[in-house]
Amino acid sequence: MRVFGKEAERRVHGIETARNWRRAGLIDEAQLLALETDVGPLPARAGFAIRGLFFFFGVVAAVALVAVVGLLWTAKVSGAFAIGCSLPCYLLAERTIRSHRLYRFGVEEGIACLAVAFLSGGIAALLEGRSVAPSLVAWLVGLPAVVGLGWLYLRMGYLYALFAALAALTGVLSVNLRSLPSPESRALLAVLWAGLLGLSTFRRAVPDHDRRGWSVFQASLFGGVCLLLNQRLHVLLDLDAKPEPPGGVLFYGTFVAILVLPVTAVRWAVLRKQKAFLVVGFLALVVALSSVKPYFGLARNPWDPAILGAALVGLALFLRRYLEAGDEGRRHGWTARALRAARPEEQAPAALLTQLAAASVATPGVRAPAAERDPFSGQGGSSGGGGASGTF
Amino acid sequence: MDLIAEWRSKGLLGPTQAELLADLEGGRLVSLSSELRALLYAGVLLVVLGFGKTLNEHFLRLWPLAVGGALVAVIVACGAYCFSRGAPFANEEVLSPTPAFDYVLYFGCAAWGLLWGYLENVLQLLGDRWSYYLLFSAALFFVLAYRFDNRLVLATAIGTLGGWFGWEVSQLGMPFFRAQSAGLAYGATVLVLGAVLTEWVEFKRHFRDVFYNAGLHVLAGSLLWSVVDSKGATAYLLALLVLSATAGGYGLRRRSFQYFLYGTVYAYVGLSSFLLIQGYVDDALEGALYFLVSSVALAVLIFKLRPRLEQHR
Repeated sequence: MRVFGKEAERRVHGIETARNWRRAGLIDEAQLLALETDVGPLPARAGFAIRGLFFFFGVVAAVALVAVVGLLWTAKVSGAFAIGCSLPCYLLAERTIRSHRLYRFGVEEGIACLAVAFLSGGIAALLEGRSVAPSLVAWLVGLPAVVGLGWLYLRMGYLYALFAALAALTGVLSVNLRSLPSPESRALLAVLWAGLLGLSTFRRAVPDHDRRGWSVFQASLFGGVCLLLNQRLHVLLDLDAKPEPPGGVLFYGTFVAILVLPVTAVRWAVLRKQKAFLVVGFLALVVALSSVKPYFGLARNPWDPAILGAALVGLALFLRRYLEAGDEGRRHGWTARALRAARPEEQAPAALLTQLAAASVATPGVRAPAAERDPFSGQGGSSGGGGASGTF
Repeated sequence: MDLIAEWRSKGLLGPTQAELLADLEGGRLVSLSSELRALLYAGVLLVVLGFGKTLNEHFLRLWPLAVGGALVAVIVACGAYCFSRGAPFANEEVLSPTPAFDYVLYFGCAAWGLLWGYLENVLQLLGDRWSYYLLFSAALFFVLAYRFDNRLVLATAIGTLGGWFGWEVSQLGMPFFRAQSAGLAYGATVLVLGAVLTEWVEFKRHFRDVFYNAGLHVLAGSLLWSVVDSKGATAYLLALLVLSATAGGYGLRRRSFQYFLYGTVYAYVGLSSFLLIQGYVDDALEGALYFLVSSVALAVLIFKLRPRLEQHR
């Protein structure tokens, strides 16, 4: 099924893992060189940032090429023309992979994704202005996208294509469930996601190079179920939202579910050592606990985030101590020691965001002068003064 | 991972090493290092946010002495913890003595900001001289960041310096010296400060990315804004291209792809905006041809430079 040979994927994954070990200090440089020599020449693979840049320029170039051809040939780029460009784009992506031995390099990914976008977008353009029911339009536009993106995952292993296919399917169904009240349609979507999660477990013997991604996908499906079931998600982030009265079997049923599911998932993940499920289950639990007040229309206090924060700090410190106190810093297969290290270019965005958030929260706010306020001063914005209001 | 067994049988991995790696890759040993750090970080941010909101909503006019005293106590406690546990100063990177150490210092700095914001609201101590507080706080945070080797506090210091710039510029009341000019001045200052401290004086060289990230984005963002806002001023575009080229060259020299990426993206967006705004590209075919040629040219350039940029290790 995969365009890359199984052996090639195994070796690429193996050497990427070995480089990770080297960065984490688990093997030395001489060993890594020996492993690289042993594995031999590999398909070209770009790092995260270069891949993103190639993806972007691949998409821009392909769109521009299609536009140039379309404009020179028919004086406009029509829906039919876009659909016609879809297959050549896909074939070009496959040919690029084969002839240049590219493995997740960016350019070929952009062109392959563009093929799906041309197909769906072209159908949407053809249907525009015609008297077709919105639910049918959603199917006609969304289904090719779901199938196309799903095919990209099966054929090329792009995990984001699988997520995009899921999003497209959810979008199609959301349009079709629009006649139902929001709680019911969300619950039905949750059932669909749970069904997909169930189906995903039928995939046995996931190869090493796909295992982590597949586990992340499954955990995300689970997280999505919890979020879709949460009937007060919209209130959660809006601290000034007015409390809504509780009521109904579905309402109380979902409340129980959003609490029970994450606890079950965390317990299962701890026992089975499934990190992705542990992280997602824990986040779902935090969201569920934060939803208790909005669920029952109780007033929220400004110190609630501080209490949650203190609990998280306490939990982090406790877990670190607990794990460190175990034999060789391990307990039941879990450790607080760093055993993996991403490439420097992959660490940079996280470091930048961390510092940005830290600076925006703790930077003392600017009290705007009486005479004039300047946008650059932040106007004592809500993030100033340790997150206090504009008056700080 | 069956490759581990293969490499072990070839003698490329030692038995103990292979056992650890097999545990790691087989899912029998799982590290929670980065997750626990993220949990700690998110917790501290939430505590600071919650404190700020609580003070603002409930204690603005109540018990100023008690609130002020409590904040002072928090600052003193954080300071005492850091000075008693902290490792001696060193010019090189210093590892945190405890997992919570960096966050305690950061929390103390946030409490300092809360204290002064609160006092200013209640007592109006500084009034229009508020900028002195910002400048002093920035200096204090810089000193603490350097003393304890803390990037979060350094980012806070740079942010506070930005607040001071914003305040001073808004006080000028000059219509032509507006926000983007303040951004230009601030971004350039942070870049120069970072270059002088980390490259020239070689004082804590590992801090350079914090300075350069903040300075580069603010300066390039302000230049880009100026290119768009002034309907394509050539001087701003030239300055943006020079800055982008410098960032790209620096990325190549350091084998750091992030600076090359920033330089490429800012230059491309700036030049494209300029050409579109100035009307050099004014119909669909010209636009399509421009984007086709430029994106292919850039993709080829990056492909050629890739071996000099990627860091596998």
